[in-house]
Amino acid sequence: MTPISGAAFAWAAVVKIPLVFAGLLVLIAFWTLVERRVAGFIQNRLGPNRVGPAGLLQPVADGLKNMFKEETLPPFADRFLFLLAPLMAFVPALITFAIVPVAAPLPTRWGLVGTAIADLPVGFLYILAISSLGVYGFTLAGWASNNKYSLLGGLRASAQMISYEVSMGLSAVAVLVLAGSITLGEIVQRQQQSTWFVIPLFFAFCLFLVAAFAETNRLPFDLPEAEAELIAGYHTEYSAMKFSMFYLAEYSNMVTASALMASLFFGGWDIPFTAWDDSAPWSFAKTAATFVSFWTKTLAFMFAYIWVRWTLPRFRFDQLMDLGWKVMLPIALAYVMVIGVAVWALEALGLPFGTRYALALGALNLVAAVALFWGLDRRRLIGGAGARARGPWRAPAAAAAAARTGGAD
Amino acid sequence: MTDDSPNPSVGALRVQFGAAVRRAAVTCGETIVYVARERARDILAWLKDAPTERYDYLADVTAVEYRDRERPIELVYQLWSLDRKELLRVKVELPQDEPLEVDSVVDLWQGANWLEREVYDMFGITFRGHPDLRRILMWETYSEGHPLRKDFPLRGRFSRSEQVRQALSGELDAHYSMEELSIADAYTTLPADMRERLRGRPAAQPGSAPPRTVAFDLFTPGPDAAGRATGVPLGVSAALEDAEPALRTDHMLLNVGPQHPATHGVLRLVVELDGEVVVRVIPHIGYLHSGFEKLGEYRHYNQIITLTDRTDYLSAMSNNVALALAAEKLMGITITERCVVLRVIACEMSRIVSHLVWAGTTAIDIGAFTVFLWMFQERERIYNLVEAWTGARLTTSLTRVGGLMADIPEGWAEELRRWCQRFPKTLDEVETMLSRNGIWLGRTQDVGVISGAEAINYSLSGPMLRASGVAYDVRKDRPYLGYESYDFDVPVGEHGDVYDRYLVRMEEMRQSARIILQALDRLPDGPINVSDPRVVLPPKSRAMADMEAMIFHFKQVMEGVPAPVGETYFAVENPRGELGTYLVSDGTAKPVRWRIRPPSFINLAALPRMAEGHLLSDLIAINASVDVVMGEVDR
Repeated sequence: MTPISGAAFAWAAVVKIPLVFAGLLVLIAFWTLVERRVAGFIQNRLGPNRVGPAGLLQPVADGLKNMFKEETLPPFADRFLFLLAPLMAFVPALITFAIVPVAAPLPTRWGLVGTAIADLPVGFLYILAISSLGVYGFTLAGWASNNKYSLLGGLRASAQMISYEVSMGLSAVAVLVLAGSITLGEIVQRQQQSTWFVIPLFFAFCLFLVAAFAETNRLPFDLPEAEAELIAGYHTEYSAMKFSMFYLAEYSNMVTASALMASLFFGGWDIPFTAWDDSAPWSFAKTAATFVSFWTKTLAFMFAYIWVRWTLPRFRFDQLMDLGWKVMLPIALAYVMVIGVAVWALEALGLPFGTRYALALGALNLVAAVALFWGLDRRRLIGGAGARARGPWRAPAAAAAAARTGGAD
Repeated sequence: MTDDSPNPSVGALRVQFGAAVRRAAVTCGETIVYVARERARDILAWLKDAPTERYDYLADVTAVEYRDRERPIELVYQLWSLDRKELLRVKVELPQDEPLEVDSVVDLWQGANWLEREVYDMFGITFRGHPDLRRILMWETYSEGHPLRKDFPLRGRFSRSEQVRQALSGELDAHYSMEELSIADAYTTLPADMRERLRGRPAAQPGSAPPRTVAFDLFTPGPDAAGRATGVPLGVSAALEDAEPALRTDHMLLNVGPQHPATHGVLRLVVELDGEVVVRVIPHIGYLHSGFEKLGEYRHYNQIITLTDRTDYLSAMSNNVALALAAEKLMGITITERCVVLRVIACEMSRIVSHLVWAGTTAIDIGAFTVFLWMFQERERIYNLVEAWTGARLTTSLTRVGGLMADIPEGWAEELRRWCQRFPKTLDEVETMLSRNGIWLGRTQDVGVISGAEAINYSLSGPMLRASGVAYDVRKDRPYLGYESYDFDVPVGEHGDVYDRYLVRMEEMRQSARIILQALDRLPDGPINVSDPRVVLPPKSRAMADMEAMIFHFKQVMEGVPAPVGETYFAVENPRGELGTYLVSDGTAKPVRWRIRPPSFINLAALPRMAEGHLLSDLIAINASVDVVMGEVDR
């Protein structure tokens, strides 16, 4: 069966666009509930459970509330940009998802329908391009609000997202090298043929994971909206639906980042340990099964986002920048070179692309990852306020007192 | 030292200063030296530095005005020698018909800065040479006078409508004085480490040109008869000629608070930012000022107890105990054994409660939300116990002069014991989350460092002081309630940073649980109140049936319990530090002066020193580590 083309393709796109985005928004809405329930579980409390069975209608209540709340507009805000900013944050976050294939292609009367809205040939470049547009939303929101806290939040957001985009892109280069393509569909296919890229490119996955957390402004990288410092950062002045749009943007960024991690490193819609789903003949059952497989992986990552958020404290801005520019970027650059050389060497050795190939690369990655974590541990790379010399001071009386004190550290 | 022999320092002072030492007295076993106003500063300097004296810790500065308007106003310095464990009270008498002026001691003790400002605010005593003599608890344009003076009516001078009118017509810009908006040239006066933090590179060599800064006079200049500097700038300016002289950047003034998630109440910090680097912090306090000390002068000792609940509302029981102990010392009452042990339990419970809240809110300020709720869950449990004992969770009013409001209920001791055994597990969980977490270490270590010597100079107390390596704990150094007979350790930090304060407080909770378990083991049976009917109210049932009991009841309620003429400074180790209660009695049932030595207030005064040069995020972490309760700061 051939992929659909012509008018049928256009009609398929028309059907897919509302389907995917509506589905995405529903997922996001319910993920806010999941987040709160999981937070409750982690914090020994219940979380929202009053609206509907097990609190399932809570997102509906929240949505209604936000729609009917007062839209505030600060008198000194730049009106146009203030209104534009939530859109600028929301739209890119949502349309990034357009190229992610969520299941095996679906056979129809008119031909094979891909499950991404458009499996663009530029693939990953599209993601980098669009997701970096999102930063305008945050920066403009911070600037247009004419509020010092918002401004600081906007500045932090732009600096942070630009910094980590570089590492994110570089860590994905290894994937592109191995896949030989930048189309997400082909990256997934390539993984089906050999093994999930998380095995040969474990190290790249770690880098990508960290960068993805930073890109989505989630704890421990939620500095742009650090509540204790900046009230709410760039969206301090926003209320009602405009605020909701930032919220939706954050969550759709989270979905997209999770979907990318699943697609780039965990085989996308591939079902592990079987080749049944890998090739034609396509069927509805295959599409459904792979759909479940894809979302299982993606939701697992989204759960990890929540888990981390309620576990870790927050970085400080200089530490964040240090981590981005002084640690992640050089490491990612070096890693691209190492992988390039390794791939070249393996090709030269004539090893075919397959499981052994992957394991050889995986061993290399394991060594690199162990070295990295050893280095990251205990403030070897992430310092305190600075590696300043500090001499312990004790009062003259402390010598006598030391005998009776337990000593805290 | 027996009750009537004065502190040997008095003799030494007489030898050194002759007639400048006017007289000495001993009340309640405490020595008071009256010194001449002209030599007061020299005498204090000598007491601080002389190798035989070493009164290096200025516990408190306050003033007393007597109801007898003929008597001079007394300025009171409470000195404590950390090495020699000796208390000395130095008083300066200021006759009412002369201008109320003395020399400031801020150049000796930084800790005197806010304390002298408070005395100026409340009594109108001017401190010559004070770098920043502004009102502190009342707003700067307050025009009704000085509230703690006896001629100041309890309700204030102006009617409520006049107060509102004045507040509304006040110039709003006055909240940012020109001094605040300006950039001070204080770079060269900074400690080297702060300079380094500000510049992000080693400090400039002495020979090279000083950094170009814009100089403004930072503070309202005070009188300078003594020839000392009128303005030691509070803040600093980052060197303007930095890496890119072409980029002319401005500093930003950020108003953190009084409504802000991380100011723990209504603290307002005016922060001058260079990018995200905190160049200057100016705390503004007084939003919660309720005039408790003034109110206390119009109340019987037992009635003051409800006020102590509301100062440091996170450790209400401990405050209750502090006031009761001070009043009992003044009256010479010895409380029953069961009462002593129960009060120890109350103090340690409130220490745990307070530190639980501290750990939770600090974690939330640094981004670890979950710890907050884990801590609050334990706090809920201990508050249930507090409620079962006192009937209230926050404002307990537990003690009475001569005893307690109530005995513990049936089975309560066992509940508390179970809780004490179980709750260290929660602490373990929190320590697993934080103590070795790389992000937590990065956020807290080396942040807000204050050395031991400086901490003493700033009169810090409690965990703030101990985290800097000074093992000063009132429970060990001036034991009360039989603390010397309990087996517990005083944790001491090493580096004086936020992390050490965290470790110290975590360990203090464990030690408190240890003390409670020991106290429960030794809890004797018997009455909780002394059997003196003049001090303790008879039970209601008897007061209704028995004529004599009814008379005592009536007299106590209407007239209160008079205290003999005298005064005492009684310190207890509160969760936040040394909570001193200074009571002066003129023989009536109401104190002439009830002074709280507020540990939060004094610890908060060191915030600018600790935070300047750090990043904005660090300011939040440092502010959290100080553990202020604004109710106590503002009183």
